Amino acid sequence: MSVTRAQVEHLAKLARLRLSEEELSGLESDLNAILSYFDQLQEVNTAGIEPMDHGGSQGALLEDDTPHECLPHELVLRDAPDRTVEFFRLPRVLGG
Amino acid sequence: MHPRIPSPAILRQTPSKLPEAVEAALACAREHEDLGAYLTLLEERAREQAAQVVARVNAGERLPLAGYLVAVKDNIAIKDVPLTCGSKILDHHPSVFTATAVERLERAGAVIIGKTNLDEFAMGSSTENSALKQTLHPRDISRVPGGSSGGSAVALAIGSCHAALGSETGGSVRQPAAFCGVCGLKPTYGRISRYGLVAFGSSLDQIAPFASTCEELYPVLCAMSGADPRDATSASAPVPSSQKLTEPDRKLRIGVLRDYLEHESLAPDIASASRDAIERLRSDGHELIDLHLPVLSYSIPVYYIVATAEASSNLARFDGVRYGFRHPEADELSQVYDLSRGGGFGPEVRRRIMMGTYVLSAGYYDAYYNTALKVRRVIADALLDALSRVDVILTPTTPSTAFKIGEKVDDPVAMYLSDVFTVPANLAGVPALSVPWSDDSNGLPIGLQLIGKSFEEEFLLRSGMILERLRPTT
Repeated sequence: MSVTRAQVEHLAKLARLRLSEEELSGLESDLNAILSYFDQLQEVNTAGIEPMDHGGSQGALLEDDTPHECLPHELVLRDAPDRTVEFFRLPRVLGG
Repeated sequence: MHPRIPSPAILRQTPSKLPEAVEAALACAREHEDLGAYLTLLEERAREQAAQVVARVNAGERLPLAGYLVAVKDNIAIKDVPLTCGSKILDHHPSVFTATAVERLERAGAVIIGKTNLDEFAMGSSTENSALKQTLHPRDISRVPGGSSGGSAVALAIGSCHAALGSETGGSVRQPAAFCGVCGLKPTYGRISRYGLVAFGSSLDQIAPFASTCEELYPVLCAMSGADPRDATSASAPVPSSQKLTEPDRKLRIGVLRDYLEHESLAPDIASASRDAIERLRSDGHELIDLHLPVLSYSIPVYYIVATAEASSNLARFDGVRYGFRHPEADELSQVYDLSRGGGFGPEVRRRIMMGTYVLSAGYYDAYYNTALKVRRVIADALLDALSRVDVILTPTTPSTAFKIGEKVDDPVAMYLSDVFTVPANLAGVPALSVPWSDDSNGLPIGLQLIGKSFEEEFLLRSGMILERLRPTT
């Protein structure tokens, strides 16, 4: 399989990455090189194999649904690029 | 390289020497500043911690890591210390909490010296992808130290610490350990809490320690291990207690992966070092058993599909909204995302996010992502089956020794292939260790890898001591 320039532009949109024309062209050839390398997986017989979608032999720890301490509000807002006293501030979305 | 600071054993016996050792470590780090190992030196903090450790020991506390000076990869959080991930998107963003692994090290008496350089978001095999600094190989500054935990490997190799934390997704500790001539252990998946480790590929990521020897590495592993309510993937398997490590009291059955010894990319010096190790192990009385696992040859494509898919999801959180870089020209919401991410991430991170987005997108999910997950299981089953027949598996850690700066930056697939021998252990979730063996004809370190059974890191490190004893003296 291979990707076209239009697909690369669409992917950049999905991934929320604003890229220059030059970067898009570079990515088109990089992704195609990587994808052709990935194609060898089609050789493996995977009939009846369950996908392995976790990393360990044991399942995840389950936690009791009880409240516990979380980070203080002020600490969470401390490094915001823009904020009000209580909230993160962003450009207006509606009714601008 | 000679250690420039007294060993942890000596410092443990005479804790009063600890403040002096901290000064020596900091001086060593500054003296080698041109190698670019550290991003942040925690001078004041380390001095205060050393004083606290001395006071705690004098008050009668038994601290298994008293005397250990430790460097920490800068994708692991320490409260109020910048957490950069080697990226401009997080430049100088100070962390609001401390990783469980670091908290446990400090509780056990370790002193943290500084934060080390890495490939941006741990994505790379040479530390060339750091947006902040270039890290150079300690023996040849025209070469890379390996990666992505290159800064930690160099910090240890120059003697500015006793142990260092890195993180592993596909070999990011074992590969730089091999390149720089130190020990590196990727623990079993779940062994060490990842709370406070910035996520890259969550079904693969592990915090992983470096040390000069297996014996010095072991207490660091013990201190960090064990379940943590803040990481749902951390394992409740019993944690080994950190008694003195000794070689196994019996001879081993060691599997030898023929596929790797005959691998087309294996450098001749590493092939002969591996054969030498096999001969010495056999003379030492161990049984060596040939293994043939052809399916492992699919590990790199499986790894890069799984890791990029998970990365594209994990890195969605860096959006210019809550912390880090927000593009100054963003004047509508979509631009906050698109411009901040496009401008904040470096080229390799953008490439992997794009790749991951592609393999997860409608129409390609089955062909790539789902197929990779199935092949991952085939690979994991093959490796676990082989491990059920032997005690450990021996391979070279890397196909080459440290390569030249710039040699692979324009060829992503060539860079990915430097992890070819390390990735299977990550895919299967089993522990694996790189131990320095010898030098190649350019005087660059060669590392050998031992792969072990889940949660048997102690046995793996004890087996590593056999290699340390048998390796040729230089």
